[in-house]
Amino acid sequence: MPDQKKLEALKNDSDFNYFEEVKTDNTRWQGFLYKVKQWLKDFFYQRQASGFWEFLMYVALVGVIGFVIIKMLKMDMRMLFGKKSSSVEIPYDIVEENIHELDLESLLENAITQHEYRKATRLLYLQSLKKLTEAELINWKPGKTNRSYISEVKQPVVRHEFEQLTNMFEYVWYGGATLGDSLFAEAHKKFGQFHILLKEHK
Amino acid sequence: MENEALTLVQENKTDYSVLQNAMQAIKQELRQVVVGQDNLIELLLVALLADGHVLLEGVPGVAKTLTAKLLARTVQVDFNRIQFTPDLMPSDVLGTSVFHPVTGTFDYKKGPVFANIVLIDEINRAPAKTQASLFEVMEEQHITHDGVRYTLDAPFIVLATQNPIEQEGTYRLPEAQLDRFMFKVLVAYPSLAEEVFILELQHKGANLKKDLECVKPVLTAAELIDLRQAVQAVHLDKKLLEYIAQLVGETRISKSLYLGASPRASIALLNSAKALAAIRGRGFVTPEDIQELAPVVLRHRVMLTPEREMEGSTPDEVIKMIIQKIEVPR
Repeated sequence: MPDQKKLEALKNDSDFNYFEEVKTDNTRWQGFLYKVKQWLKDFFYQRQASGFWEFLMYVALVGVIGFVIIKMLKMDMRMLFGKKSSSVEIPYDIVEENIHELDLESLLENAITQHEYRKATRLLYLQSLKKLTEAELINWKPGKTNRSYISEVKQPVVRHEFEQLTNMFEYVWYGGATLGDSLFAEAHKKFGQFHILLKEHK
Repeated sequence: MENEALTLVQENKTDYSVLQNAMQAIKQELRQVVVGQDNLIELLLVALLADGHVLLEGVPGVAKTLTAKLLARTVQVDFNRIQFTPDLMPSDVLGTSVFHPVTGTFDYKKGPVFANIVLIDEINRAPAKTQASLFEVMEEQHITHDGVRYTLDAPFIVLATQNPIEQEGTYRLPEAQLDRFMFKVLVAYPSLAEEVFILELQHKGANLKKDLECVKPVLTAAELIDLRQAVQAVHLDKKLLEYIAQLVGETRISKSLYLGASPRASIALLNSAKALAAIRGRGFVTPEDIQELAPVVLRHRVMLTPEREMEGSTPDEVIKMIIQKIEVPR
């Protein structure tokens, strides 16, 4: 038998005391966390939840976890239903000049009056594109180039004339060529003849 | 319908016939050996005139290295070839200091990158540290070694070939290096007719080594620099500058792209469009030139979002959609 006194002394020796004193929740935050923990513990283990509510809780939990994972991967939700997203979304609208909404006639008159022949040539070309679209010879789309429209025109005569006018427009508009009164009068005449040609082919 | 107006307007046209003839002569020289690959040849000529480096990507055996070697032969300049291997060190490319026992000093021994046209074969077989050694020289055309700057002679063009990244033993090039290439050209397989023609030539006993010697220089370095100056004079309307900026800017905000193209891409598109216009005999750029070059300028500078990659999309598809969306200025 060990000496009772010695045993008692050893028991009271802090070096042999392996139990740490648990500090109580002092701060408000710790108190709040403790209450939340208690509530969850109470909800899941002590409350007599019905089978249905328990099932609903698990479904909601799985849903939340799934949502967080999807958000983290930035996945397209439509992919979950086997649907491939249709096209690239561009988040802003580029200012487009719809030739079908412009009053080209009055703009052209103004440009001619002010001797702005480059601008007038551009408006004449836009007018041609509008008339070609109305005649269903081309399908107007913002990203299409002049050459794309030329290749769309199937009627050889119209195509040839349109190609000539396109070359002229490009030299003037993209090439920065200047037009004098007589030169523009010639260009104007050519566009006029082309518009008559389009009426004939309607 | 007589087109007098057109004739009169065309009088304003700048004459690019000298440039066109020179480029035509280079094409003819190359076609003596290379069957097909017309698009590749044209893009190489554009880069030559626009002072840009080219990355050629394709599976082994589609004449990437051959075409690059032949292009170098058509210009009478210094040419070096570096075969990139996994154990290649930066000093193997740039040069290194060697102790000179007589003088008791270290002398800089220039590396193979000191040439006018440098062909880097299988660039993606070298690790990142060797790739990084090319950053300064590709962008600034000089090398700094031991605090001394060594400037390379103009013209300086890097033509690099690489196998697709899925091929074994290859590394993906760093984005900073990819951005330094003006174009990334995807070299396709020849068509059936072209392949039959290749076989026919081989069957008749074509000798590649002998054929290579037939290719003669067309331009000197000084002539090339003159042609480049002519390209600089090509007119580009302000609306088209905005168009280029819009196209490149769109890559930065597209939801399909994780990484957009840099302003260096805009500059590359501008310069290359001017060169293409000049090759086609025009003194001005049209939207067609920009649209045609946009995929080769942008494809290596953009990165798809993971979900787009998972869908199997390619950068070219996204670039095409961006081109279709943005209104052509007119």
